Parts: sequence; structure tokens; C-alpha cells
Amino acid sequence: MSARRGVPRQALPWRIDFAWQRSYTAALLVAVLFIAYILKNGSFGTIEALGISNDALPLALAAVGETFVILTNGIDLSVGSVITLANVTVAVMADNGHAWEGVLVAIALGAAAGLLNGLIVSFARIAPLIATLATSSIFVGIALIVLPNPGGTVPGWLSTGTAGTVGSVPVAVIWLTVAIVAGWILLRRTPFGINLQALGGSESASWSAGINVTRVRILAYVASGTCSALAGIVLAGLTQSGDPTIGNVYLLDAIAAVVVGGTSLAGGVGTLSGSVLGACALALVSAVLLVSGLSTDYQYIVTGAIVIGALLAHTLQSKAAVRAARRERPAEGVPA
Amino acid sequence: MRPVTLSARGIRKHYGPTHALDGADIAVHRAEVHAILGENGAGKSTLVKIVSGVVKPDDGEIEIEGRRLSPGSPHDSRAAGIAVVYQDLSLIPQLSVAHNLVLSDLPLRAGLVSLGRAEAMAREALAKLDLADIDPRAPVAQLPLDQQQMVEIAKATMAQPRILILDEATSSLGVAEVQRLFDLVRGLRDRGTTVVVITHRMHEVWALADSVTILRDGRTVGRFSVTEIDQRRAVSLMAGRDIKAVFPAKRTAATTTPALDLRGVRLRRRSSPWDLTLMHGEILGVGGLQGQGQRHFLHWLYGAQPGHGEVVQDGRRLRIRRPADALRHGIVLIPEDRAVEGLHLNLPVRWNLAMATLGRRAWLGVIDMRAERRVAAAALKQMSVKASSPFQLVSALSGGTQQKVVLGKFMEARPRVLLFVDSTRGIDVQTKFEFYDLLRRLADTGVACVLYSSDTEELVGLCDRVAVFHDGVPAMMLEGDELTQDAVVGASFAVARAS
Repeated sequence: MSARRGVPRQALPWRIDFAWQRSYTAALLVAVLFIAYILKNGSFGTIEALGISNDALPLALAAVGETFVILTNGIDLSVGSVITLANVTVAVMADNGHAWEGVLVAIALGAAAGLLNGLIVSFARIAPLIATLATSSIFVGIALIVLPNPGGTVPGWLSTGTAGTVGSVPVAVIWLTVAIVAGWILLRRTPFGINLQALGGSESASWSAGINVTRVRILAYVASGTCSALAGIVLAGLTQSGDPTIGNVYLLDAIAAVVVGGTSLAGGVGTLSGSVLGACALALVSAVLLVSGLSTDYQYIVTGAIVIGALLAHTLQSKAAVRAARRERPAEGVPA
Repeated sequence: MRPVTLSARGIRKHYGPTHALDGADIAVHRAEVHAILGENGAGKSTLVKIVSGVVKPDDGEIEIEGRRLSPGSPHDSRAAGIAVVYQDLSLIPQLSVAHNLVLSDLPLRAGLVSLGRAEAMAREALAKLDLADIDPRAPVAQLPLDQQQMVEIAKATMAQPRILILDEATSSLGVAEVQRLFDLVRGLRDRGTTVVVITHRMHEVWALADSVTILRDGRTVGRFSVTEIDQRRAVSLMAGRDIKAVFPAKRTAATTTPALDLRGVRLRRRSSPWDLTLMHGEILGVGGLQGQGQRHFLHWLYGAQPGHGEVVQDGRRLRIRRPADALRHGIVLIPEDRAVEGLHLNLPVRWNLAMATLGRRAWLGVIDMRAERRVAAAALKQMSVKASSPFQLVSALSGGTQQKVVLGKFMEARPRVLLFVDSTRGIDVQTKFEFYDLLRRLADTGVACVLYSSDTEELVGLCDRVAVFHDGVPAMMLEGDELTQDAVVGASFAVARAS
């Protein structure tokens, strides 16, 4: 005889699935911080929007890149170094009158750096933590040789394209929106995105399902390198110069944004859009502290507290989801 | 006679000096269920891997419907219509059922994955297997283990295989789920699919298969129809000698000294409290349909899971809030997943054996190595562990031997109550029966043993009493003459229906 159970009801449509729900924490955090900012500041206009979104954009790009790798159950510690490398490349080449080429070369360098990471992790079988720590040092070294001291110049169009406004909307807000939508489509609706989650969920299962595991993993690192390069280019536009130390702060903040955005460090579960929201939340934290008259030094303490709080929220949320799933099946194995 | 659909002849494969396969033959007819039997190391898994193209044979040929397969090509095997469901679940827990089913062949529309079509494809595949109660949108991680196993099979049938191979597919399933799986396999066979099963549960072969091939030491001993061979003969053919495939004698005298008195136990908040007494020297079986709180009961007694109730030992009430408390009172749990919970795989046997009782041989924090050597040697002997040396790594031992090491590790702690959670899962027949003997010998020294098993044959053959669980409560107790396989299966369903 076969045991028939009541059809388990999935209350939510599958597009709003488990991973998607995890970015709710970041969305809520963004909303709360935004309201706090408006209350403290008294008003909100283009100037304020510019300040916050320009802060958030490079971090969001770095966080999205990091998310690709973390989804595969890896980690990319070279994010900050690739930002620096791309940043000084653009500044130096623009200084010599090759601005367009500089942007393209910087993107190509970022992709190449990611490819190197991917190849080392896949074929030399070195743990991602160590492999990217080592390459990170190499990339920073190259950047310091290219531009030992802050300097260089950046053409106006790159500034307008990053720090400018369209009407009263900052360009950076548009880019952030694009990143959220593109991130959603990429992860949920393309074979690469689904294979990425499959790989992070179980490498052996992905392999036996016929997924080219090595290619997916390498592509994740290439995507990470490319995103970091974009972050470095954006920073060049925002600061209108190059700086061989500019990427230093971005590595830990990017990982923090990924975690706040709901991506599991164990791989397989997460969203790119969540990471963008996580970056926005962190940018809002410093903005709120600034208008509250507190030193930005407090930012580190608050950021740390938010990361721990977000992790707790995710843990509670997954436990609640598991409990809810159990409640739908009160007595397993009982013929109805 | 139906035509042969899969035939393999003279398959050889060696890994270094060991011959995994040394001239194995197999012939499977169209639309039959064929079982491959053999002890651990007989070469069953290697044979499956060679047929599926994952492993390249040194010699021999494989034909599907008369066409020769190129050896060592998973692609060619798949194209020829072979699909394998491996022992370890190969689903991705974070993804939905639908994602998992279509993962090898994502449906695209304008370059993007069409979620609607993926869901429709999944629904269709599940409905075809009479599994419409599984929601294609649910994340696999949220399904119970048996449904995951069904999804696994559905995934294998997505490519419309001609030959479906199930490698130990029932090892994680309970009574009702095994029945459901059997129905599913019979349905597939009736629609023309050839099914090859590998299992360690002998009675399943006679319940499900039409024919068997018996392997021993990498060679085919023979191919039989299930009507022309019985279980006893099959076991002796597998072992190559007459092995004692009989359960050790049960305890004759009724036991009277209680080892543990359990009073007012409630595992689930809404259930009514119940009492149970564990006797010194008895083996108490814990059975029932899967997921009726059997595991929870043992884990609660071991302080690893919450629950309410008094545990009384020699008139004293014990406070067991964590495993350390249970161990102090001589209550020991042998976990089911020895690789994860019971052993340190990359440490030598001797260290593993010493692990549970380090403090006893330490003086000012320094371990007395001579005492440790003595203890380890004694444990190896008592458990008849087949290890080349006390310093062999545990990961190099077979599953059955590993299970003995887990047991040996806790024996030095002089347990008074031993709790076993599905300990013989995936262990070969010979080792299983050695394990049963060991268990009975332990019981005879006065240890109270509690054994949760999803294998009914084992509960009936080995245990003195069997408690059939339903919804976290031992709803029925079977002992003596009432303790038969039919009675246990019947009671499992009866208590479920009664409520």
C-alpha cells in the first residue's frame, strides 16, 4: 500500500523562494535607516541622494562580485586589490590621453585577475582563501608599480557617468537599480545563475547532473574580478583621480554587505540583489552617523553590530521556515 | 523468455594490487527487476560504475540491446539509456524540486530559463510516477528523506531511461516508504523499463526482484530466477561458504532487573505521557513507520534532543540535559552516521578507540600511553576489528568495521545502557551477523540495549521485545511468539490507522 499524504501547500510562489526571502532583512534595514536619515536630516534632496548613492555604488559592485564566488562556496579576498588595480590603470592611462582604452583595459585586467584566481582554485586545487590572498598581494604590488602615489586625472565624462545626475536623480541610483534587476535575472533566470547555486549547494550532485563544474566556478571568479574592476573605475570617476590604496577598505565591507544581504557563507543560497541592498544599508549607516554628528569612527562598531544582527536574523528566519515546513506535515508516514 | 537488454561479459578492473572485478558477467532481460547481490567489496558498486561509464574497465565488454558501449564514457552510457540513482542523494538541497529535475536540461525561452515550463515538466514527470503529492516548488531540503528519494528516482527517469539502476536506494527508508518505492519500481517495470537494484536487505530482493546475479570477490557466481533460489542459499553463495546467517539465540529467562525506568515521557508537547522500563540484559527493538519519533526517543535519552519525563536508575532520578550527563551515567548512543557523528576518520584506530575515555588515563593532563595501548588492544580483540595495525586510519576501514570501532570506543566507558540508531544501515550481511552476535554478547553481560532499526527482519530476529512507535509514543509492545515480521509491519500500520 502506498502512503498518501495531503498535498503540502507551498504558501509562497516559488519566485519568492527561500533565498529570496533572505534579502528581506537587508530591504527592511535599508528602509529603517532611510527613515532614520530623513528624520535626523529633516529633508531629503538630490544632494543627499548623491552622497549616499555615490557611497553605495562601488561597494555594491564589489559585493555583487563577491556574491558570485561566495555562492560557489568559495571566497575572493582579492576584491580590494582588483579595485585598486583597475582604479590606477584608468587614472594612469587617462593621464596619457587614453581614457576609453583605459576603461576597457581596466575591465580586461579585472576579468583576467578573476580568471587567474579561478584557474588556481580549480586546477592547482588551492583553497580559495589562500589562493586569493596570494593573488591579492600580487595585484596590489602591480598597482603600486603602475601608480606609486595618488594622482592621475580622469576625464569629465567618466565623472558625469558615475557622480552626475539625470534630472534630479543621481546616475548612481540608476546603476544600483540596474544592478538589482540584472542581478535578479542573472541568478534566477539564466543557466549560469542556476548552475552557480547548484554548485554551491552540492558539487558532486552538480557534477552528476552534467554541469561543467569547473567552468561555472572559473566564471564566478571572472565575474567577481570584472565587478571589482567596475567598482575601481567608478571610484576613479567619483574621486577624479587614481589612488593605490583606495581598494583597501572594500574587501571587508563587501563581505559584510554580502552577509547582510542574506547570502550564506556556506554557499548555494543567496541573491545578488540582496548584496546590493546590503551595500546600500552600509552606506546609509555612515550617512546616518554623519547627520547625527557622530564621528565616522563609530561606523566600524555599528557595521560590526549590524553584520552580527543580520546573521542572527537569517538564522531565526531559516529556523522558522523549517518549522513552518514541518507544521505542514504533522505526522510523517501516516496513511491519510 | 524476454530478450536481453543489458549484458556485460568478462569485466575486469583492478585498483593497484586489488581486483575489484575479475571477470564479472551480468545479463539483464528487458522489463524485469534484476537484483545484484554480494558482500561489501564483491564489486557491485564498481560494476554499476563501469556500466554507467564513470569507471573505465581494464577488460570486458558491455552491450545494450546488442549495441556495444564504448567503455568509460558516461555520455555514451547515458545516450544508450542508462540512468543511475546512487546511494548518496545527488539532489541539491537549496534548489526546488523542479530545478533539480530539469537541472541537466534547463528549458530556455529567449536565452532565459523558463520557470513556468520547468515547473510544468516537473509536474508531468512526478504525475507519471504517481508522485503528484510532491510540490515541484518546494525546496528539496524541506522534504522528508523518503520524498527526496522519490524525487531522486523521478530525476533519473527524466531522460526516459531504458535501464534504471538503483544503488542502495532503500537504505534510508522506513517500512511504508519502501513499499511506496517498490510500487514505483513495479510501475516502471510494467511500462517497459528495466530496473537493476543493489541492496543489502535480503528480503527486499525476494519481495521485488524477478532475478538475481550473485557476485563474490569480483566474479559472477551465478544468475538465478528468484523462484529457484532461497535466501539461505544466496547468502552462502555470496560468502563462498556456509555462513551462519542466523540470529543469535534470544534471552531465555525473562529479565527482571530494570536498568532504566522511564516515567511520564512526552516527546511531543501534545502527546500523552507514557512509561517504559529497560531491563538489564535485554535487547529492546524500536520500530514503526519512519519518522514516528523513534530517533527522537533515543536522542532524548542521550540528552541530545529535548523532551519531558523522568529517567530513574537504581531508584535515583537522573538529570540528563546533555550527552555528557548521559555518558556519566553509563548511557551511550551509537550514532547512525558513523562518519559524521561517531568517528574521526583521518585519525588512527587507536586514537579513535581512546577518544571517549581520555581523562581516565591522564595524570596531570598527560596521557599514559602504555595504558592507552593496552585498552586499544583489548578493544580491538573484543570487537574482532579487522585492522592491519592500531595505527591504521579509520577512513581505510570498511563500513562494518568502522561501526565496530565506534562500539569499541564506548565499551571502555563501561556502558550500562547502549542506544543504537539504525547501526547496520549499509553494512554487508556477514558483518551484520557478526555485529548481531556482538550485540547479544554485550546484552548477556547485563547491558540494556535499545536498537532502533528500519529493517524489520533485524528487529524480529535480534530483539527480545519490540516497541512499535506512533507519533512519539510506543503504541504497541510485541514480544515472544507475537514477534513476527508480519506482526511488526501490521502493527506499524495498525497503530497509525487507529489514531
